[in-house]
Amino acid sequence: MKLLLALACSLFASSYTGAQDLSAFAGARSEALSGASVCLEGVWAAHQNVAATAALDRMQLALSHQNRFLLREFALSHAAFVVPTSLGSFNLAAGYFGFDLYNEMKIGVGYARSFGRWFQAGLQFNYHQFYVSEASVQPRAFTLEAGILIQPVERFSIGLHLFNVNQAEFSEARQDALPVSGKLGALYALNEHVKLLTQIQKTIGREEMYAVGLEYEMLELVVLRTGLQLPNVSNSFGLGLVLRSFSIDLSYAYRDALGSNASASLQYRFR
Amino acid sequence: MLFFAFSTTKGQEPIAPLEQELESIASGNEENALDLVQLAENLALLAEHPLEINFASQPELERLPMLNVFQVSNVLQYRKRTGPIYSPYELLQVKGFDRNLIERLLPYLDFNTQQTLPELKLAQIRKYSRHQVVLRSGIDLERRAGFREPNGFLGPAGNHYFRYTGRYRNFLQASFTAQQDPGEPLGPHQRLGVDFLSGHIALTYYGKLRTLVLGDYQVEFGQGLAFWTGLAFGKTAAAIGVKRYGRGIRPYSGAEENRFMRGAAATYRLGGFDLTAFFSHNRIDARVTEPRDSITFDGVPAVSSLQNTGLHRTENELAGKDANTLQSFGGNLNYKGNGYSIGGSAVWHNLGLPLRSGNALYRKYYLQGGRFGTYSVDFNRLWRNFNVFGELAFNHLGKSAVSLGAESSLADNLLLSLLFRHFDKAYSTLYNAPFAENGQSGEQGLYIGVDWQVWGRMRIRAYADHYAFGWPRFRVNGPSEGRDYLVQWEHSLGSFVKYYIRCKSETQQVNQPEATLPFLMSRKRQNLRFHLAYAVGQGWDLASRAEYAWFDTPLEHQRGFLLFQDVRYTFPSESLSLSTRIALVESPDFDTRIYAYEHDVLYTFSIPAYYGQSMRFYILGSYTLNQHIRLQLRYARSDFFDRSTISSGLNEIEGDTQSEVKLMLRFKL
Repeated sequence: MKLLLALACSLFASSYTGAQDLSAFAGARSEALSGASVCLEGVWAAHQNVAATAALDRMQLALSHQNRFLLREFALSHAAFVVPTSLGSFNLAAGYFGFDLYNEMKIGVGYARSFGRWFQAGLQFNYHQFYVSEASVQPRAFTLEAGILIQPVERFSIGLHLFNVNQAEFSEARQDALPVSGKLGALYALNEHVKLLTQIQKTIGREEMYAVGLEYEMLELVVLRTGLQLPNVSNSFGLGLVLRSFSIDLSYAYRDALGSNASASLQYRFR
Repeated sequence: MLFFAFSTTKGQEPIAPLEQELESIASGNEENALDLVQLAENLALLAEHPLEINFASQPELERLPMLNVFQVSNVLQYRKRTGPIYSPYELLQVKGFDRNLIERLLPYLDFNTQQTLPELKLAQIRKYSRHQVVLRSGIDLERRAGFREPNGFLGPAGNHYFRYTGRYRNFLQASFTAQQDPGEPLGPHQRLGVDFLSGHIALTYYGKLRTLVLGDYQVEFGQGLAFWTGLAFGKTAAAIGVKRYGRGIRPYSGAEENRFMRGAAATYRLGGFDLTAFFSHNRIDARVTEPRDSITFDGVPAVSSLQNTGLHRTENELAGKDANTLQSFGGNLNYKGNGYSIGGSAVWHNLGLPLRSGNALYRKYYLQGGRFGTYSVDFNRLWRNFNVFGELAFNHLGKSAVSLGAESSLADNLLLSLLFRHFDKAYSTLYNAPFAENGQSGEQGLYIGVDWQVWGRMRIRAYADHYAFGWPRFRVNGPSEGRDYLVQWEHSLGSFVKYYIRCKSETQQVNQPEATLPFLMSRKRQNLRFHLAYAVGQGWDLASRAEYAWFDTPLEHQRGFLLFQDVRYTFPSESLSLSTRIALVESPDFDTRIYAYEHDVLYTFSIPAYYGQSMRFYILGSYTLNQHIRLQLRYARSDFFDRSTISSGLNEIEGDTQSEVKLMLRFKL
């Protein structure tokens, strides 16, 4: 059974997460917005768009977990840690997918800073490792990602994030390359409580993916979210709670043909 | 102090605001990319010697590409009625001028109220002349097949360009260009040592002598039906520009190696009449077949076609270099009255080796023989808010072509253009540039364009062009038709954010491949573009774009996609700027390629086709050392994921990366 799952994993891996960037699924806030998170500031930006970590004013630590499609073997865990300094923000981002027979791991170190008030940029350096118990080699790769976040006018920002700009390969054969992908998105704050997010994601060799998300701060401590992704239709919903220095996000998503996803994340903001 | 609000753009390189226009022209008209150099040079020249708005005549004002005919006429009327225009603020009083437009015009205008005709004395000329030297070199970092193969390119891989321009005010200029394309040999293979040289000495706007050129020049008459060697736009996203502004004789020292005149030309003003005459004798390229007398026309050796790539890299290409001669002469008489002008031209050509275009049916009415002529009359009438213009031309066979157009500013915020053209199927001539799909094969068509400022900063531009060809064309074995449409929505959100959405569709009929009977099928190209440009101050300018391309025939359906981000940063000192782009491309084949304008070193325009599964990156650094020296360095690179060789034939590159480096140096004295 586990072998079958390992096989399924690698299929799944190539068509959905992937050799795709593990970070695409980090944090329940982003999951609740169907991934339209390239413009979102916060600790999870260490996974979604490194540039957006530049605006943090306090150290933050975050953890998230989900069993993709509610399968134990499709476990995805992420961690993020951001340290703002006077020179800019430094971050650590880690992700783990899989189980003992098949797993993928990513560890990244990133740096972001502001250039003037309305422009932020960041770079992240990652180490990737893939493990398949049957295989004789464990492929490894180093990737570079880069992002910018711009706010040309009040309440409107644009984000761009590129993954694997160095076109890392696991071996000589190009099909073993990690895909190059880019996300471009916009955030529009209708008022101080409502944010509308859109995003287009292009991974070389795959169809473009579109996402829209809506975040509504209903009460000071309660945030509601929803999102939609196309063309592989996925609807997502989420809830965020703020408890002093802690905050918790929960998400649920339903994807056509593949079923349900649920994830949870916990963030801690240092004083 | 108030003036400063308007004068922010002054002193910068004025090419940037024209980019969108240049790009749209280029993507609809790829083969004319070189012409953009002429446009950019015209603007660079205007920036250096701004137009004296209080003295400029109508044709001089028409050199400003951002003004339409009504705005030009309004300036002239205002001047007549009220006297000199003292400041940009006064321009706001002129009908059809708004803040935005004035800001764009400002780098090219001079508001002086006293004009002095310069003295043509050597001491004066020496004292007030400006000199400029541009040096440019570039090289592909990967070796193309032509450099490895025995029958490949004879020369080195680098390309080089040198240009000297000396100018005394607006009146006297001398210019000289030398150019070498990659793979072209130097030295013994070339008659003059380098591959291409051009230059001229010219006197312009000197009293009654409007132009006198010795050396290389361009000729532009009427609406471009009969004779026009220079720059001409096709259908562009500006949508309403259908009128040709023929400027008669224009000095030339560009990089296009065939399509220009070489000899002497002059325009003289007599009362309301402008009389132009020119004579040219130029060596041009031709496709040569061996043995040389295998093609004949009326018993004398002939060539099958003229060649205009300007590339002379292999033995074969060199054999065709300057293989033919073209002698041209002719003239134009133009009368300008109050609100109208009327003109007539006649041009004769004499080819050293006659053309014999072959027996294919579609070539039946191509130019044949060695002696051609074209004769035409043209008119232009401005009446209230209507401008009507047209040209009627006949070639040496007595076959006709007609173009009739109108532009109207129906309301202050709505401009409308109409253009009808009809070409006899046997109307073909050597160098012309009518506003048309291609102006051959019995084309007939009607074009409608609008530019509507809907509300405040929102604008719609659109055109529709319906046309038909009465005769077969290359790979079209029968009469065919086509439809082109464009709709563009533009919106500025404050002065920091602008976006536009452009939908473009082009449908033509072409041969159905591998069909036993030559059925025609429709081939449709559609593009949808979202473009967002935004500035955040402190020197940061950015742009993002997503574009789709669809290519549909009854047999295949393809889709391409392009995503890019531009970032441009100007350092606080303004002497150094960096401009970069990173793009992701997915286009299954060349039919779904997407064109995008790229920042390049001065006086070069890159509008590459983005295709394949690829990532493209470039960075351009510009450094202005002082008022004399400017330096630019550019690195561009494409990485393909779907192929292990790039391009084909002698241009093939082994590997999945294509990259190039370019360096430009400009000295000004």
